[in-house]
Amino acid sequence: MQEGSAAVQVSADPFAVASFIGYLAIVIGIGIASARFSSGGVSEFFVGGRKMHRFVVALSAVVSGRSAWLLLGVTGMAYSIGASAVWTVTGYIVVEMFLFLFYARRIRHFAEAQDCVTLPDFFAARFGDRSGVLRSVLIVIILLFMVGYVAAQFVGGGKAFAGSFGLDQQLGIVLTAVIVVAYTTLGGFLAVSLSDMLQACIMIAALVVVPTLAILDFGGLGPVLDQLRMLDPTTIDPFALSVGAAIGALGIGLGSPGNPHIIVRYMSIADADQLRYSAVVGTVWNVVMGWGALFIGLAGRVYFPETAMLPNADTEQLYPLLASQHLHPVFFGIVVASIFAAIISTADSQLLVAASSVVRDLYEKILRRDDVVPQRRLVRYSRIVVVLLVIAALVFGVLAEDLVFWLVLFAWAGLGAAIGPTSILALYWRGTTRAGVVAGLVTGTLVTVAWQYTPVLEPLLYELVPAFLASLIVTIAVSRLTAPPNDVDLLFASMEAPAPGSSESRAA
Amino acid sequence: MTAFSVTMFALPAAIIATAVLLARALRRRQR
Repeated sequence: MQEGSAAVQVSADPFAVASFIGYLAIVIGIGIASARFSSGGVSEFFVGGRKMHRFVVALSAVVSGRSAWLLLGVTGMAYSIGASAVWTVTGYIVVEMFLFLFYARRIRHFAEAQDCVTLPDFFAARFGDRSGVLRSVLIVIILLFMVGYVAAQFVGGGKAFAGSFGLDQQLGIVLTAVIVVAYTTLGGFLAVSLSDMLQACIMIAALVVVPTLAILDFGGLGPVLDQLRMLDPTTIDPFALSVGAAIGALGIGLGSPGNPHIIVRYMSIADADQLRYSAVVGTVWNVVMGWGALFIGLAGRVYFPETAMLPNADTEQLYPLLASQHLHPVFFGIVVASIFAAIISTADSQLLVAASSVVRDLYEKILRRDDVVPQRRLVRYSRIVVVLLVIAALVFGVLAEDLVFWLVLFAWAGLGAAIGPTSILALYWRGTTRAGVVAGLVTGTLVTVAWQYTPVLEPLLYELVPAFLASLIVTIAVSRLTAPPNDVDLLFASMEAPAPGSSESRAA
Repeated sequence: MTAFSVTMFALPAAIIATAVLLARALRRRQR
């Protein structure tokens, strides 16, 4: 999802700075505490050794998918268009509920049976990709979008630092990167998942407390709705949007099954049967955060009826502004931390996915596929690659901001359209072939870009929807013309139940 | 109930209820 900017015109309060620094200290502490476990091997570093608790998986999958787009973008959208912004959160919440319940279970079983650590591992094992073509296409797509995506998170963090604490923006970008690299390099997936738990708690608390206080301070929901009705009746009409806009908003959810930083979380759970609990916890979290963001937008509109009343007339600055006016500085510091939580919980997961496609997919599985590389060396390389990717993202973010936002514009949609339909078909349709998947991956990426750049089409519909459908159709059509793997029944059996002797079957 | 109440209150409650019901149905199937 697209990254928002956070240039908030609020002066640094010592209490706010203190609570923010307290939050950062805990996050970095988690990285240090997880370092020993994550040094065990690439499986530990990139999927937490598939030992994650159902609660950790639920929250980590949910907050990794929600960048500052939710806190700044959705709040701003609800402020501008009112209750019809509800469809923007409904789509991805429903899709992710089904992913937890059905898709996640199959990919988790398969991942252990075939020793898959990354999403390209899954595709390579599913389609017997001995030539490395399929893996290579995925590496290119993941790196292309992820580095830009991470860079955008850093830029978002820099803007938040600048706005909240008066720091220089460039320094803020570097500081955000340093914080992320510190605990991600040390603690790998475990640190990222555990810190995601903390981020999830901070985000949900802020998204409940801020709208509740703002509404109560106005006299309750009744007066807020009366005021909104008086200002503009369409703000309380959830159907005040075009069909194209509604499909596009609901279609945001199509991105979830294609974003590898979300999918890899499903592969990390200790026991796939526990995913049904993760589904409930994840859905509750998603719903409360989503609707909290909507109510922030609606409450904000009654306090600031004109956009010109917001700093720089920017609707994305509503959330921190509203918080600064209704909360003690200590809690305002936590609200700023919630913006950072959203930014870094997304950036760290994306960084690990990008690093895994370099070390696991490119180095271990393509360049050194005939050798056995010691696990500890792979972890060392992974840490180095994380640092290198952060430097690349930083350079990208500082020097090529336009290019970064160009890539981010397509990242959620591009990954969703390329990997979403192909991974669903790979999991559920035996007739899917390697050629079909390669064609679908390329089609999804190209249609996303082409749709966005065609002036007649772009305003009609969010590019993810047509690109997802095109990729789905092309994958099916090309698969029909080619032969599926010979051992497809065996592969499907390993999706349906835990492999004999696996950690899951032992647990059962 | 107004359209506002349905989408802002009943819809989120219905989504959570669906998650709970599907999770329970899956548990029965997995037993």
